[in-house]
Amino acid sequence: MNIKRLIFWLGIVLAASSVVVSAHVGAEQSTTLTNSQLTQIRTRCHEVQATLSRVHANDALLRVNRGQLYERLSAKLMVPLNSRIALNRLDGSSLLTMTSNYDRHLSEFRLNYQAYEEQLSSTMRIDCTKQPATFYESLQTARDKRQSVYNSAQQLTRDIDDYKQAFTDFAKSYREKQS
Amino acid sequence: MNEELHEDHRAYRLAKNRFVVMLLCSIGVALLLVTISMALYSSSGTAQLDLSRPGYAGISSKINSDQSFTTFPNTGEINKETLDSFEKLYDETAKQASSTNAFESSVLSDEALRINDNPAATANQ
Repeated sequence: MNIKRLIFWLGIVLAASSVVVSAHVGAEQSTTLTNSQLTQIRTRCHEVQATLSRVHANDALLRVNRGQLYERLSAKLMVPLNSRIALNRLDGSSLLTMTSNYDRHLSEFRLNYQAYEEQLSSTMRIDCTKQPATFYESLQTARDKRQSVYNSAQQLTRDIDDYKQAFTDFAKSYREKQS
Repeated sequence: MNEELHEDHRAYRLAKNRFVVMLLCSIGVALLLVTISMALYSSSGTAQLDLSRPGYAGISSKINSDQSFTTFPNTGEINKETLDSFEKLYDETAKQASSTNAFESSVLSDEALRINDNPAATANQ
């Protein structure tokens, strides 16, 4: 009876560990470099580093210019209009909700960009002639983080459109009441 | 006479030690404040916006430094004119903020960095 139980538990442990191992191997395979890629990274290391450096600088400029526009939309347009509507005792609740969503997503955008920039900087510090695999792994993480920044920027674009839609609805109902 | 000399020497040494201690404390406080400010500089995200850092010299001139944009007034009545003026300002800014697909992931792809699995394709690029 005890042996049967032992075999049963051993079987469960083996099955569970094989699932864990296969999942791990699958994850490894998805980021495994081929020998050809390793050679390319080693031989083209300086070119790759130069490209990353250019991307890094252009991204910083884009972050500053785009960030200014995002801040301007919130602080100089949405918030003043919302308070003006409130002072006139009109219903601007949907505009308030849109502004709150926009500000939340803007904070996410800032954090995502910061994480991406730190990751890209650390990737650029890796010597790809000596550690091509580590370099590539770090590059993959930077790609994922850049994707998060892209998603945040797309979300902000949707929020800008949503606020515009809410404003159009508000203006329409205001004009209907006035006429 | 000897005692007096001894006292003078002690007073001199004490004063000298105090001066050294004051110098060390000043350096310690300065180092602490620099460490705190550097930690805040990097953790707050300011470092990412600072284009005066080395490596950004060429692009800092491309910053859009248009300060002429005026804030929409947050007081006053709401009427057709104010709504129209807001809509105009909003549309202009929104158009600029949504103009390009910012931070597209393709710029870091294997193809863009020319480290893809097919060396022949890379060589032809």
